[in-house]
Amino acid sequence: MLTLFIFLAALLSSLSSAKLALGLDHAAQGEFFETRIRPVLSEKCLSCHTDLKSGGLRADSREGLLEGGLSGPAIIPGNAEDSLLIRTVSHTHERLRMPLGQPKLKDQEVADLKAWVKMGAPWPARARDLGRLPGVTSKGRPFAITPEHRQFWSFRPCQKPPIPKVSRKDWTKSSIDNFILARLETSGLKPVRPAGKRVLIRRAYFDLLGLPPKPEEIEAFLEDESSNAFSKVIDKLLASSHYGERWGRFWLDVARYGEDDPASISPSQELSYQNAWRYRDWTITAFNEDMPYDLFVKAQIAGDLLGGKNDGQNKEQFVAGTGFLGLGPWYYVGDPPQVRADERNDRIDVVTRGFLGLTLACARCHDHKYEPLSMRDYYALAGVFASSQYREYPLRPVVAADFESHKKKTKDLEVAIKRLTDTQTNQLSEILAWHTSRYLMAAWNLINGSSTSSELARAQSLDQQTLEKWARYLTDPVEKDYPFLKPWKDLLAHGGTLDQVKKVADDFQTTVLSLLAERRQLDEENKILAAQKTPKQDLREKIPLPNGIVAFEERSPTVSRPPGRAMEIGRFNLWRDLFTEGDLVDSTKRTDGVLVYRTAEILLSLDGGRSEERLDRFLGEEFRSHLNSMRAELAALKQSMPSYIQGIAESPKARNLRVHLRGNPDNLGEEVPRRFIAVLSQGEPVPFTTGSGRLELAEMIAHHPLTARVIVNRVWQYHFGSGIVRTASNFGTLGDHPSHPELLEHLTSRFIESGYSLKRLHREIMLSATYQLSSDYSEENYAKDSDNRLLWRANRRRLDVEALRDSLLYVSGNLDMTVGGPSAELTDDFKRRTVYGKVSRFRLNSLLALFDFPNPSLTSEQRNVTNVPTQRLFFLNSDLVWHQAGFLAERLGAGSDVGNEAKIRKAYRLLFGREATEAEVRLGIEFLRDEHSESGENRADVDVELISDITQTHIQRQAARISAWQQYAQVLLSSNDFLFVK
Amino acid sequence: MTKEVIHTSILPHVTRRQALERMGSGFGMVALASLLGDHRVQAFTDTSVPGQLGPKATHFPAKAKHVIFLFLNGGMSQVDTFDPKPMLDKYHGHPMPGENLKTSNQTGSLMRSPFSFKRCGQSGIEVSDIFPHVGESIDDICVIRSVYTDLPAHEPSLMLMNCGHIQLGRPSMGSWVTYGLGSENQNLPGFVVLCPGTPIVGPPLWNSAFLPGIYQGTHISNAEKEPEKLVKYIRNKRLSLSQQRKQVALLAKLGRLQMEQQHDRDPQLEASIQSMEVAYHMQTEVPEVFDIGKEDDSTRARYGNGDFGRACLMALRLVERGVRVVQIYSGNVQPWDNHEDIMVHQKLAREADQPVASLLRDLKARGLLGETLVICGTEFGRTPVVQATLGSRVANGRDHNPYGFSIWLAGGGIKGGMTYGSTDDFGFKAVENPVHIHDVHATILHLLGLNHEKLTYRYSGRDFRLTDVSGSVIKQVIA
Repeated sequence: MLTLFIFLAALLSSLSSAKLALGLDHAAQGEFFETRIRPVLSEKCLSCHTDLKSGGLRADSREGLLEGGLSGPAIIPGNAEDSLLIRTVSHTHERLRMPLGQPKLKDQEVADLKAWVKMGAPWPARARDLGRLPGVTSKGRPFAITPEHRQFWSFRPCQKPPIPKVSRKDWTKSSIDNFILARLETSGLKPVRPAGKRVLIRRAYFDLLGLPPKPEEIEAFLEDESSNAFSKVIDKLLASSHYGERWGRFWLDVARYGEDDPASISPSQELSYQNAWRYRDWTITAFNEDMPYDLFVKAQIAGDLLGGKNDGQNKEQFVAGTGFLGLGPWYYVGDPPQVRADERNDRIDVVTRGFLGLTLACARCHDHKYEPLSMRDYYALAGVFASSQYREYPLRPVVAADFESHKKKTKDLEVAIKRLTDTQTNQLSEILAWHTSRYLMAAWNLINGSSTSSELARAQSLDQQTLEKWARYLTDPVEKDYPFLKPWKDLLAHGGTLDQVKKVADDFQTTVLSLLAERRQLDEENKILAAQKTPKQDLREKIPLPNGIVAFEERSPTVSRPPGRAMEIGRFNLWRDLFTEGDLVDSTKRTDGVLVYRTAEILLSLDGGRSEERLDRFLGEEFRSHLNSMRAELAALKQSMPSYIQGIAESPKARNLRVHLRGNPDNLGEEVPRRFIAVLSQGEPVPFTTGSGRLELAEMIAHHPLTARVIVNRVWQYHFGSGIVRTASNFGTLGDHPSHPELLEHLTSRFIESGYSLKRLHREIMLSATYQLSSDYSEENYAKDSDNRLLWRANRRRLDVEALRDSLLYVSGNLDMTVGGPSAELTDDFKRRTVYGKVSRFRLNSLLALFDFPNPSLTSEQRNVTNVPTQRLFFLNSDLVWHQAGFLAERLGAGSDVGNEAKIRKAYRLLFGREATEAEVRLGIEFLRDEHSESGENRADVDVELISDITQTHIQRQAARISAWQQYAQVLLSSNDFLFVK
Repeated sequence: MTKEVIHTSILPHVTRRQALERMGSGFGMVALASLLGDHRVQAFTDTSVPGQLGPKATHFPAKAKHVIFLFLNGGMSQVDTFDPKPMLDKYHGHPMPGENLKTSNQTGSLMRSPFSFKRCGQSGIEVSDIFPHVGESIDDICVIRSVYTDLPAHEPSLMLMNCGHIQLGRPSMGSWVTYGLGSENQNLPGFVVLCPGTPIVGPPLWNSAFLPGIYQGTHISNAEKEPEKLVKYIRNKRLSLSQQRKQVALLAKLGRLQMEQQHDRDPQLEASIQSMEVAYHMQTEVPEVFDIGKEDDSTRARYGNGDFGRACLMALRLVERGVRVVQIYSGNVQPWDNHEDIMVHQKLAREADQPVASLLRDLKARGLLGETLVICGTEFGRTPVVQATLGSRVANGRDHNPYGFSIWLAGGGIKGGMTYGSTDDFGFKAVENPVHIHDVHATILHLLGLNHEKLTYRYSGRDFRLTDVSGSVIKQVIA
């Protein structure tokens, strides 16, 4: 019964849209045809039923369907049940089931077709011949930009609105406040009281630097009674070089900054972007120097094309900006046409969402369903990026030619070393295989405990480590997936005479040697097979990628050849266990084969090199010294590798792309000239003429008012917790509409007038009464605007991971404030600001991941804010928090004889920038007393280095006191007061 | 059998359940309530539970309550496992007749399976001899032999299989399910992902994207054998639980004091306090659930000591304790991606075979199979033709095949002992009853009592769902 009900419900819901269409007016019928019918006909029917006229039928016009084919008319308008089209697609026809050889149409599609025939099969006049109109894209729907599209609020030119009048004139401090207050007043809301000076300075510090103010900085502000006291604080913070670290990091979220690729060939460090940090530092510097935003935009799209030819210094300043594109994810493996298209999709996504707040990437497979963005817009931009490629720019004074030859030398040497060592590895395993029987005999003695491995090895001139590896293999309790070891296992289990052992060992050696021989022959045969139909040369155009990897736009030409010959399963498995390399990354999976000794190079890069397992010790003097000199040369080359910027450059040849129908790089439609997005252009967009067109694109983006609106809104968002437009990277029709449209226009026009100065924008915002509101609660306001959309109070905000970690280190006196430089892993020993930690797309640092760091492969408009228990475990149990609590306790004088009350008050001033209340002091004292007395019996381990200047007799009391304080400090560092900014 | 660990709350004025229900993400309860107020998810607002991870009502009565998703990452070959093709033996070494399907790499002629197939169970469904134990359980299993996906590359296919979309930025199926149903145990994450290492693509495969962060999968790298090392920061090396109890109590007092002093009702503050309370309890509960040493020897022996086996046993324990979704990846990176030599499938199957069969058996024995949907899937299949890449050492492998492959489902309302759909004579392309990934997802949600068209979330101005704009429930596989 229930099943029947569900089935009926599903049926009804699938029919509902079709039902609706029956009663539609003319325009709506046209819409129904365009969205529901035409796509199905064009995708499912037209591959056979157009010029090919399978069965005599053309399905690309109403006339064609009415005329029908060999089996009669395809449709009878008004009579769906008897129409051949419907009977064949719903599989009720006795013979024909359409589409032939394809999956049956979706129920929904069949229902739509039925409804369409029932309503008389209306076929809108404007596009009679399907698929052959100029400018028709995948869906067969002509796409045109109307003047109304260009008048959408975010696309039109910026106009400065009049400043609204308000009744409470005394409340406003800047014109921003008029816009805010006017809305509050018309909505019957009252702003809460202004924030106190302590709250305000703390907010300003976190906003601009991402760090709390020091107690003395707070004191100075409290004592400054001049009317521009806060303005002075803002100026000081904006002038600080730590401002760029905070705001540069915000931008890096948008720029989906990462220092490697989301899927590397191997997880080894070799494929990270060694110099990505130069783009990060460039961003930080751009913010610190208040680089005009339009220039900031242009440098990131086309920095390599900015600056005069003879202006070397200037040029270098902008080239680093192209890391925005050059550090995007690259795909080293995969189907070339597909992965190149994926790369371009990333560039389009980050450029359009990041700068323009447009979701153009949605138009990859079809015209945007909701926005005035077409596939042609998408492929016009894709062409620009297809005409640009990855480039490494050496830093001056190194010239490009020297840099390239340096890279080539390094690469050649690496290949030579690998060739040499690979050969030696293979030869060594073959030599060892010839002594299998002797090793097995010795292993027998070793396993039966008659002698140690070193004694046995010495006595019988065997290699001790190889003997041990054999013994491990021969006693492995895991059942092998081949029978060859069974006689040996039987002997082990039941014992045997030495003669018997010798027999088994000899037989095993025979097997091993035959394996080797078979394998060698197979490899030869397969190599010949492979060579037969493989072109001698790869004629495809090469595309450079990071780490010296070469990629292609095209697939390699296909060949047809039979499967290679393979070994029988069991023999293959034994060969695998003896002669193949194990899992390098995860040796718990499978270790190297018994007879495999690898090169130092590979092992070194992964685990620091286990010298006893290296190939080297088997090599003769000649080989070894040759190898070592090659290694030394390689090390020197790497050492002297000039530092470089990872960016992009123009490709040798600019080219247009053809539309990828349904996003499929193998299914190409019309060619699209490289040009700007139509809806953002005045009239028809003009094709780009210079090179790839990147510079022209950069100019157009930088000076479109949409770009200015988007950045102004981002700045607002980071100051208030949410933007005037809450979808900061979507300013299209599907995006949020601005809560205060006039205010956004006002700020945007002032921003443009100011010469795109972000620092001016910060000042303007922060000096408003709106910014300076408290976060107080108001029952009345809350009832009307619980979301605080109208800004009747300040939003409380949780610290993001950077501010959190930096503050932890800062208040305990451990933060290294050095600005700039290479990235390092974010370990507990790394004491620099979090922005200098390595950002891996492949394996995001666990602390970053835990506290909502955005996916660095995708542009991010806003951090998630979660409050999950696993985050609280970090505060409860991490070494980082515990140790900082220890340092903090020491800083507060935990071990001294000063009373707890004074120390608690000091802690509150240091951590929270405020005075502790009496109740808070009391709770603290109680905790410390309890913990102190308990610590005798159940004492925590104390960092001994904290205990200074005390005598042996006091050590226990002292330790208990410090332990109690460390626990208390940990509580304060875990508290909401620390985690949230008001 | 193990017992539930029950903790009492230290918060007298709030029941534990209430407290937990209040916990959540910084989206704030108000914002969330307004999001859920959308009529399309009316079902959720009808429940009395305001929190996010508490159990929620379904759209209609559910067959399954839990999901265990076994993911053989890298691409399991259908013609060597669950889709026997005698024609491959006949035409071994000959070019593929008829339609020449595009593949990522160069491919050559047809290649027979090196493994043989055996009729299993009462149903007599043929299963490859590399999965003998799974074969014994075939009467509980429904093999879908006609699945197809959109692209022949790992990343987009993994994304599609896990998140219903080929590009990054969509919530995972586990997140959607946890969002739709909540979880039954508030001391454990609702969605747990076990993988010894990280599959390619990585965290986006279990992320919650625009859904609140509480629904994201908790990834546990189960190569680690010590239960206490599995979850980061789960244990304190220095302080006793009683010392921590005092810390947590002080923290709660200070937090509430602050809220009182400021007459503040910001739900973030309360959520933070409650979250700490849960974290405190997790310290004992989490190591316990992952401690497979608590199972008896004979049980553990059936699962073996491999990563996959231990993960299966953990999945059993997690589901017993009410965790909603458990996903197990076969291994780090992509073990099943055997371009060069398909024989490696044998070794991989050996690691999975007995544990998976034991999992089905133990779920049944503990009365959980009926309410636990077990899915064994992969991102795509492999070609029946050999891969002919230059420089290949063995030339005995298969390339990626998105056109047709097999997955199987068991328990949770699935009709066992049947196959559904089929591929062509050579196992290249789904021809009879083709099943798209969206259809698989729609069916999974359906079994869980969720209508895939109604499980939506409004983000960036649009209602998103797991199945994007398509997908239909495969009714024939439902018991």
